[in-house]
Amino acid sequence: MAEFDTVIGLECHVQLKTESKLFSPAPNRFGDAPNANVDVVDAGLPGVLPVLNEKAVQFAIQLGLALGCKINLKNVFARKHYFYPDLPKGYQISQFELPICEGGSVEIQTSQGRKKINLTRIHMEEDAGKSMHEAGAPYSQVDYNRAGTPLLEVVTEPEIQNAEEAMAFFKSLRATVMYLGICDGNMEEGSMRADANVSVKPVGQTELGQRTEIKNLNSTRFLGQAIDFERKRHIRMVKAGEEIKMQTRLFDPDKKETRSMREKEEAHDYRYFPDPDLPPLVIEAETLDRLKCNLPELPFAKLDRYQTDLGLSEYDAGLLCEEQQVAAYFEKALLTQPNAKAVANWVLNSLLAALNENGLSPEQIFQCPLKPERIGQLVSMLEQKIITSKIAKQLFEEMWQNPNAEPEQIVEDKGWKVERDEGALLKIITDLVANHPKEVQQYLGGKQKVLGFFMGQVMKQTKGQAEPKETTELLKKHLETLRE
Amino acid sequence: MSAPLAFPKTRRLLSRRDFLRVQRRGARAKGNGLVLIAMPGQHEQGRAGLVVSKKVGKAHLRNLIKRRLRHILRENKNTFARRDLVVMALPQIADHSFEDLKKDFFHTVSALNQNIQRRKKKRQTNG
Repeated sequence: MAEFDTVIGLECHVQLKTESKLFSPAPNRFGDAPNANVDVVDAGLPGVLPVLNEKAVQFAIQLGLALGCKINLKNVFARKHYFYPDLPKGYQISQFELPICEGGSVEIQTSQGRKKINLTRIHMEEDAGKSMHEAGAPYSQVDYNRAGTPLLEVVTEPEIQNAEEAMAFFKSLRATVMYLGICDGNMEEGSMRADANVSVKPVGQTELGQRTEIKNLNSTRFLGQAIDFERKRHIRMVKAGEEIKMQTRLFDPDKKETRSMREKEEAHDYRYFPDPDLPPLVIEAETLDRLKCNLPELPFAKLDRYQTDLGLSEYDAGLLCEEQQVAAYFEKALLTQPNAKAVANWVLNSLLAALNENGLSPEQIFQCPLKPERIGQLVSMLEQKIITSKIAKQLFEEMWQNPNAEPEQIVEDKGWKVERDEGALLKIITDLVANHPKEVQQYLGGKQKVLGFFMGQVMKQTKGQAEPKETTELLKKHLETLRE
Repeated sequence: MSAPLAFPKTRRLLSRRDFLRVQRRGARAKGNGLVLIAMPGQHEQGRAGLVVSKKVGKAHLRNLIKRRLRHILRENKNTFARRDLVVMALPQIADHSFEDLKKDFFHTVSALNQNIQRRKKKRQTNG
């Protein structure tokens, strides 16, 4: 079946969550009126000088440390020249020969297990503006709000083998930058974008095939679809004996296909040279120490810990760790109630479902009416058998509607407490048994299922407040006494 | 949400028992002016405690050192996340400026993290 190997390399752009831009004091904000956040530096006016944003450098180092990269203590900004209306200076400030991070790897999880994807480098650069082409208009417009926004470009080695791995890589990188708090991970707003370099080669051939680059993929799903389409296109062309040209292509999500954007001449001449306006960036060893020992727990470390220390299943742990906010919420709930499995179940099943119904995303978990302590309290009441699991679901609904009420009080007011009075319970049971001689005979005749009928009757009379386990025991005991 | 610079009781080591437990069983790292000892904590967020003995100096100096250390810990809570950490001041700490103290602290935490990694590996190969 597999006659061809696919070789994929990714370049992922991560927009950094800094207050201001990479080289200017203009706010780094999405969604403002066009050209509202443009400083003279971003506009590329003559005579202005860029000033490096310290926070952006710190973020870059943090990502490098988290991914096990070598941090270059001395690194250099370079000018990358190309002419396009969204780039007022006529060059982009980027890094070329001495990027801030080299090497390192991103851990991914696919259906084939865990794997590390090695990185070539991570470098800092500024984003360009945005051109807007109105359909049919004889002109184009340009918005420079994005010009000068700090980006990290994460470049992988060409060793990703299929769309699944590429998607897992993108997901893992997104989780990491969000755990570090350096990027908001908001794909719709373009906070993370990937360019994929795809090529195919016959199995066994060491030489790589001609590659094409698919630009600006802004969702994990599109990334996978674009790679799949491109792989098939390449294989078809190779089989038909056609030549694959080095191209830059765009992905059309509606048609799920890629289109040629421009033919790329062999290595565009960007005339890179060190930016004379910016001195080489020297990072002090102390800064590195400080950032190194302040790294938060990273997604895969958390995943492992949830499984080994808290005894959660791989599946549950994976779901909790996917969004940092969900994991944080879960950990907060654990402070009130240490039964990790039970808390995880409530967070994953009831709470995430409720978020979804109310139009909140998992990231917004802290904005929901239920505080994490409340989930802890609910689980505690279940643990202490104050309420039954059936009542717990009702209580959850009630707490959602009425977040300020103490759960204990709700249970009290509604009369939801488990029927603990064994005498009363026994009376209900004896009455029941006396009123249903036929069912009793069936049970004694070996029909175990009838027990369910009795349970149902008890629950009906107690409005679901009888503790199921104890009631079953009591029922069985009572029925057995009738055997003689 | 508690304020980012709060240092509530739940995040501090309070009893002598806690301190002794960490000192007996924890991983250590020594810096110029302080010793750090840490062990995995039962608390999700981690706890930290200070020891500044009378050997260090008079009360005003010890208080100054404690204030500074507390501030560093407060700003860098990830350094003791999921751990119980004891920070012990050595007499030499008296000569440290605040900047020195910060550098010393971060350097020692890095060393401590390495020690902990080493311990983990050792345990894995042994067991």
